Amino acid sequence: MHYDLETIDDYLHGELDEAHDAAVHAHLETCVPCRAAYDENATIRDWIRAAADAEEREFPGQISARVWETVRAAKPGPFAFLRTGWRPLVGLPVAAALAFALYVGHPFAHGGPQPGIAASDLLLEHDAQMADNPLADHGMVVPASFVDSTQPTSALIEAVDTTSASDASDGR
Amino acid sequence: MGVPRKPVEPPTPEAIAFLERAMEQYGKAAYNFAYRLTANEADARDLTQEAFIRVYRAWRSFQPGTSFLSWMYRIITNLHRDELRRKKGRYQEELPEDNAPQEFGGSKPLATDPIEDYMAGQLGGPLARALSLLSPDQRQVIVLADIEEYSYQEIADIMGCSIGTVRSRLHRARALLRRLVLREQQAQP
Repeated sequence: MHYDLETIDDYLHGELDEAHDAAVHAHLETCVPCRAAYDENATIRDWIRAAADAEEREFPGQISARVWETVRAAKPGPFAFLRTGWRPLVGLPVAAALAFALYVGHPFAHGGPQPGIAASDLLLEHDAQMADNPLADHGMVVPASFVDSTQPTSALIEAVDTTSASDASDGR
Repeated sequence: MGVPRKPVEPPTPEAIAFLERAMEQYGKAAYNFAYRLTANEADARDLTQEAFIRVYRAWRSFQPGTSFLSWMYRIITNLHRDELRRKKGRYQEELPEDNAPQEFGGSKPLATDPIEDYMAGQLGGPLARALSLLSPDQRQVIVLADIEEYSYQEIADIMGCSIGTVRSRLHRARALLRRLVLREQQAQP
């Protein structure tokens, strides 16, 4: 059995898993043709590395000069101001405009549907009246929200006063 | 290079510091990588220059803690590929496809020794001559695997292809280089 050249390449590059690597390693110890193929591939790799070292070049100064030239000549793009220190100056008016738009766009601001009476509000009002009204024990108290708005408040007060006065005179 | 350029944003202190450091630390490696891909100093200069401008433009997208050089090589590889695609339209015969039979330059007849032809016709060192035998993709794989010593996975990430493709390109490239390298070795004193 011989390994194919791709597997020998993989072994050369340390790309095999541990078990496979150990198997190829042991095989190369004894198999002359596979060892020759491995040596040849290793020779090619080593030659390429040595040639690359020998031909290594310094970084030409003109590259950095040209890069800096391009960078310095850069003109701001249409949205570049958003990325610079102008951010707060632009952000504040934008935030104010958004707040104004939200306010104007809200239904309350232009006579849209009015809010309904929340059940919890009714209960609070009811509790308050139960606590203050001396008649609380004698019947249901109607919350003020349900009182007919066409009837003047003073008439209601008078009615209560009359009832209280007649109760007092009966008692006498 | 004929790469169309997007507008470059005006310099900020952070961007300048990033670019300055990148060129200082990685300029030589980037240029040598570009030179090995192009086998031509003028093209390598253009490629490296454009790559650093890309780095400057995209410096905010660099993830700290990852390899800057891998990022740089990926930019150079992509730029080189784009440039070759542009040239391919004009000089189709210069770029043998990876899976096509290797014609050693396309139009040259195989009756003559292609290695002899190339050795006689090419300038530059032995490595440049050897790499010129390969397709651009094979050249990238050989440079990344044998010179830069990246793993298959890293090469696949840089080149934007699968590990299987890296493996087959490397194997094919090595097979092509075998005769040339052994001949070079025998020629050395």
